[in-house]
Amino acid sequence: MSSELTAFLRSWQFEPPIVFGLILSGALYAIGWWRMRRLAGGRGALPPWRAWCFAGGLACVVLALLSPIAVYVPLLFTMHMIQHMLLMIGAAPLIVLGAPLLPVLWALPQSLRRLYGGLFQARQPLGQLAGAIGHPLVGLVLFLGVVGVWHLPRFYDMAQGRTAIHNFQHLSVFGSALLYWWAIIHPGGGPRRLSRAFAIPYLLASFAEGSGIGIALTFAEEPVYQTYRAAPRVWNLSALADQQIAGLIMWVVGGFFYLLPLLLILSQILHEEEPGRRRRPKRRYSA
Amino acid sequence: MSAARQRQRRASRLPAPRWWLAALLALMLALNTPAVGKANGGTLRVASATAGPYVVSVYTSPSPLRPGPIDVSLLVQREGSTEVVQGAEIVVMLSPLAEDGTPGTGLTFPATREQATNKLFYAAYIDLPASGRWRFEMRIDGAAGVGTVVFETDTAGDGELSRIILLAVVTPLPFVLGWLVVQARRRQQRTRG
Repeated sequence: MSSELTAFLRSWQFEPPIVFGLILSGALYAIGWWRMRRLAGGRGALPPWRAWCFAGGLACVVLALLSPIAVYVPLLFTMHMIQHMLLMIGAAPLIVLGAPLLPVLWALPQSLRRLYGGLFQARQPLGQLAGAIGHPLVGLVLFLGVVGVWHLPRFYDMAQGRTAIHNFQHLSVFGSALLYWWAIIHPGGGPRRLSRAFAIPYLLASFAEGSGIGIALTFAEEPVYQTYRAAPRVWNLSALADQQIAGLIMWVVGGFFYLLPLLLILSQILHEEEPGRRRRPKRRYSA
Repeated sequence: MSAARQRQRRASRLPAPRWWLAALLALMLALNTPAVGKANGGTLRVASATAGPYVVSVYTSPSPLRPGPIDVSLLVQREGSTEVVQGAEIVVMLSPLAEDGTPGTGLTFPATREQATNKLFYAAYIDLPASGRWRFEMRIDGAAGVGTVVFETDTAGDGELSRIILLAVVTPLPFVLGWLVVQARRRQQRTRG
C-alpha cells in the first residue's frame, strides 16, 4: 500500500459536537424503536429495514464529517464534493426513510411527549409552522437555492476554512436536503406524500440544477474556486483535474441518485397502466 | 385481560429512560473538550512557498485565530513534485510583535506527524497566550536540508463572517415570531367566534 493511501486511511478527525449529536440521535432512535417493539409485542411498529436506513444515514454523516473524506477537504475539491453528496443524497434520504420522528418521540418521557403533541397539533401555531416548512414547495425552493448559492465562487470561497460560516454551509445543505427528501419520501405516506404528478418535475428540477453545475465544473477551462487554486497539490492532481473529477461526481453520481426515484415512480405508473390492474386513487400532496 | 392490554401495561411500567442525564453529561463533556484546534486545515496562511529544498504550505485553525488552543499544520513537499516529505523535524516559533514590529520573547513548539489529523501534515498544538499581532516562523530540518517559512497575523476577529452568520440566523426571527402571533390571534378569534 502506498504511503499516500496509508496516510489517507489513517486520517480521521474527532469533532465532539458531531460525535455527541450522532450518539444522541442514534440512542434516541434505538430506545424509541425498542419501546415501540415492546408495545407491539415483538412485531415492531416500525420494520427493521427502517432502522437500518436510519443507521445508514448516520453512517453517511460519519463518513462525510469525521472520516478521511472530511480531513482532505482543505486539499481536494473532489473530497468536498463527495462530502456534500454524502450529506445531500446519502444521509438525508436514508434518515427520512428511517421515519425518525416516531421512535424519537417514543424515547421521550411521557410528559415531554404530551408537551410535543400539544405544541405541534395541526391547529397550533407551531404545528402550522412545521406544516408550512414541510411543504414540498418550501423544500424544493430551499434546496435549489442552497445548492445554487453555495456553488457561486464568492460564497463558496467565503465558506472555506474552519469557520462558523463553513458550519452554517453544512447545516444549510443537510437541513434543506432533509426537507427536500421529506416531501418525496414522507414516511407517513398517504395524502401527505408528494403525488407522482408533482414528484416528477420536483425531482427533475434538482436533477437539472445538479447536472448543470456539474457540467459547468467539468468543462470549465480553469479552476473556478480560489480556495482550490491556492491549495497545495497532492496525489499528482492539478487543480483543474481535481475540479473535473468533482464536476463529474456531481453530474453523474448526483444525477443518478435523482434519476433513481424518478425511474421508480415512472415504473410504478407504467405498472398501474397495465390492462387488468386497478388504478389506485390519486394522491394529493399536503404538508 | 387481553394480551395486547397486558403488553401495554407492561410497557407503561418500563423504567423511564434517564437518557437526558447522560445526554447533559455528554454535552458538557463535548463542549468542554478543547477540540477546536485538534483538526488540521483552516485558514491557508502560506500557499506552496519555497523554503530551501522544500515547498511548504501552512494552515491555522480555528478561524479567526484567538487566544487559547490553536493548531498550526504544515504540508512539506519536495520542490518540483507533489511528493510529501517524511521524517522531517519541524519547529514552530511564535513571537508577539510590538506596534513598531519588534518581536518579543518567542515560544517554541514541535510540529509532528503524530499530532496531525491529516497524516500528510505535521501539526503543532499551541496555547496562544494573548491577542495581538504574532509572528510565526516554521523551521524544517529534513534529509534534503533546512528551510524556513514565516508569516505574521493578527488575532483580531474576522468580524465580517460572524456578522453574516448572525444576520442569517436573526433576520428570519421577526418574521417567524410575527407569523406565530398572527396565527395565535386568529385562533383566539376563532375560539371566541
